[in-house]
Amino acid sequence: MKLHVTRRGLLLTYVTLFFIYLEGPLAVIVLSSFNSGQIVRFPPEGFSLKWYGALMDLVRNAPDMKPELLNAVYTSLWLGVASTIGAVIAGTLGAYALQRAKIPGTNILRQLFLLPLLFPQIVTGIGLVLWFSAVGGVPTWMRLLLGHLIISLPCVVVTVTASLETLDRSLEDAAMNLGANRVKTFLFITLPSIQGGVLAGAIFAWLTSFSNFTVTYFLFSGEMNPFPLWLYQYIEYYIDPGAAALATCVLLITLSVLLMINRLQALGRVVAVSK
Amino acid sequence: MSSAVAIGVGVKHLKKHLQTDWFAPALFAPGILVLLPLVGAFVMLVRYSFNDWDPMLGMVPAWTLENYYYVFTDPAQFKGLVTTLRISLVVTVVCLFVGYPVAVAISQAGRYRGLLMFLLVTPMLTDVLIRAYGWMVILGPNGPVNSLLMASGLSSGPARLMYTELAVVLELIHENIPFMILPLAAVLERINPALNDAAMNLGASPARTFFHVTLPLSRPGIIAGTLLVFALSSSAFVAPLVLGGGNVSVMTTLMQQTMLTTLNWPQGSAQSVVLVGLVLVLLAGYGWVLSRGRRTT
Amino acid sequence: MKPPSQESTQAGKKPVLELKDISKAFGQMNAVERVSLEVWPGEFVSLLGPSGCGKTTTLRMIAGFIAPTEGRIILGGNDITNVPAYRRDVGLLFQSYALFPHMTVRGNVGFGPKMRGEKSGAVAEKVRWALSLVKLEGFEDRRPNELSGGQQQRVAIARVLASGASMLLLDEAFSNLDAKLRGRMQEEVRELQLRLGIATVLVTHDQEEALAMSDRIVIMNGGKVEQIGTPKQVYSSPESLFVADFMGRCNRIEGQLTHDGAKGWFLDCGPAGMIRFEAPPHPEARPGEHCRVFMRPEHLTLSQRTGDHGQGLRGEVERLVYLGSRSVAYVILDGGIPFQVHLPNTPGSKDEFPINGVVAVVPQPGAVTLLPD
Repeated sequence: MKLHVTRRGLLLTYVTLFFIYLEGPLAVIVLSSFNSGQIVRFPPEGFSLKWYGALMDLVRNAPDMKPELLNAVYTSLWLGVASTIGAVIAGTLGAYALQRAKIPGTNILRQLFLLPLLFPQIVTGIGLVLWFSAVGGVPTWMRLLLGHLIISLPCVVVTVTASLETLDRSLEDAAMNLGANRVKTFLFITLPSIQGGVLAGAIFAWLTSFSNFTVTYFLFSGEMNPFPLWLYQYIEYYIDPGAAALATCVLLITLSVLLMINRLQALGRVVAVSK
Repeated sequence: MSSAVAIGVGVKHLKKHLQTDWFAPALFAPGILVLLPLVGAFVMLVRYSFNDWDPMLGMVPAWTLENYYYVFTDPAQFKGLVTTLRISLVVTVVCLFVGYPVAVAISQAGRYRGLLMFLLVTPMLTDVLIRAYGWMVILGPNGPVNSLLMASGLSSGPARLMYTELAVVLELIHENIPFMILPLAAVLERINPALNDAAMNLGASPARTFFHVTLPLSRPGIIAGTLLVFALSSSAFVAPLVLGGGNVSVMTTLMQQTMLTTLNWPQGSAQSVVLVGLVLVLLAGYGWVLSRGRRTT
Repeated sequence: MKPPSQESTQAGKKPVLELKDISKAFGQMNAVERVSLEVWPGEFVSLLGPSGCGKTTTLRMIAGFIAPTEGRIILGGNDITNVPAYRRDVGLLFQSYALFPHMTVRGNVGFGPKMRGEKSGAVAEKVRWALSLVKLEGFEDRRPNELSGGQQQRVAIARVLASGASMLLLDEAFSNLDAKLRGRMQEEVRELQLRLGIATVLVTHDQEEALAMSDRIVIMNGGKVEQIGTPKQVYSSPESLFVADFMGRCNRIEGQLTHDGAKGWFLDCGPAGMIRFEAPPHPEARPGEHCRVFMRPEHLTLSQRTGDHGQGLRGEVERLVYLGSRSVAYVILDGGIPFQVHLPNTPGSKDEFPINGVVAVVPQPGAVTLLPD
């Protein structure tokens, strides 16, 4: 019995240390953003909010950085929203079709719809570069949008599929029996029943698009510089805690989005597919 | 007469075919429209990988295996391949040994399971770049590791930890360890706890119980996690780019240079195809293990 | 197959629903094979059989969720074989009720008329009418998860009725309710069905439910129809071994037919003894013929007089089980055949048959029925 208790204690200690390690890099960023010194230093030299102030200045009126940071955030925002809308439409319909279609080749299509999840993103990026140069004349915004659509589509497919699997099929049968045709049944019965999965998929898709670096790296251009690229260029050249302050803001957004997904009890579904 | 019957039969068949329900299949259309460029892009990569390249003319259509030959014989590329495999191997092994006890803890966490899962997934869904930045701070000359080293007198000046293979490995472990823990925990949770009790009841010590019952039963999870982490590590791009800082050449960073700096598309395509081949083989194994696990439970 | 009594009462009327030789194959498996059935106006028909017998598949073909591989389905004189589910006015009551969880009772009940394009005033009127039929006025704004199981079923019934269906299909509609509530809902639904005069098809695996509710019962097995008849017909004159067995416990025995001029016909069952028939068991009966017969447990009595030749089958009481309204005696006949006998428990009845006591199992007049081959 005593042995059992010590083994539990050992495991508990180990797990605690592990999670300190796992959350460590995030905590370090948050803590060093409150550093009062000129460079990122850990442990910090003193507490100060000045880098958040600097961030505000940067956004408000710094002559050289302002347009770029604001542009980057703006680009990432619309890119995220647009690709999320597209991924939700294509992914929800696709997940429904994957579950219901009785045509040969459905299994191959299932692989296709999930492919971007595990396909090396760098190859997705490189392949699209070649594809776009062969097609020619595709504006940057369209390249970025398509790239982000591709990587965020499976997020919706997975969460919606999970919802569809728990959907009581007799609800749809009942609707048809009461005179609702396919389209009406889908809109009035199926869609409201899977809205949790659709919403979780949308959040997850947005997160994927907003934080994507690898595919974006191959598709962006000077005038359209999404936020992760801007952050990359910034931390390559500056070591001040401003980047940490910025990263903390992004962390805050991510964390609140994750809490939102958790509230939807959908974290399990997201976990199953993440990346 | 008989031809009329044949036509009748034919019409009947056609009717049956038309009766196939096309409502659901039609909904594939938007998704296929989105994914078609990806398929097209990959087909193009494969085709380009057989082309010739001339520094002056650029890409020249051809059917040659030279690019693949270079992937395995060109010293820089071969070194990149070896580095990729070495890093992935180290990362995978460390993830397995560090992650296994955590998976055991999660599988026994009861009502704390949700909290542990949330803690596990939070860094996983955070921007890779931000995590990499965290490691830049930790390993940087003014970071906690160096502060500790100097304060303890182990080192007189800041040690160079950034832009080394060690930095890349550390980041990749951090990035990928959840992908080891999740399949392991999933398998461990399905093991009937009565089996452990039975083993103990039959006189096996906790250690023997672990090695003779728990470990063999968790093998599908070990295989799945190992393959997944290896695949993800070998296709990682951000960690070598940000934490390797040009000092660590792996397949992905070499691909980036070939495509964007030397603009040797056929060579970059061949590198891409090799990487995809490696990853797909690992993932096919992963899918196989998963489907077998599902069948046996 | 159709009983003559039905034919005469339905003279001049047209069936509401006709199934003409419908079959359904899933791959190589025949789920339903050449099923034909006519349902007459106001009639309550049950499809009864064990799980996997094809009854649910048949029902889903009538509702239009599955297309038959062969055969035709005719509703109110129109061929609806290829009409999609949402254009057939057959109302289906689901086993799980299938109430839309994101809609109120009003939304659920009004869904049918709304989908069929009725104006909001007409929809509200239909909802009021249907809810009053199931006595659920005042529940309009509740959600399905705020209702009890019985109330949910009433909402489901109201929803089907409001949709203006020309006939009702009930898919194992009562099996989700506990025993007490089930009996009450069965009565209520039957009463409502009779009041509205709406033709109804019930799918069930519960023979008591089928007996209690139906005008006619269709017994299915392995995708085929075994027998169609009134409850009394299928219970007391089964046309196949399967039907005899499925409709209730039957005690089976076989033997040699003999005829003794004065005393009539006997079945010589070997060591257990002989059974006497009132009349020849069938018109072409010949002495010496081998026959199989069955008897329902409630059509048998026990007697301690075992000597009489042809008065019953001799055996030993193995076990007596007291079930309140009756007791069941488990008797092993001489020769080893097990029999069950139901003994009514009247206020004065005493335990007169001791365990291991030798008894005679005596069929009541007309109890012995010839088993079909």
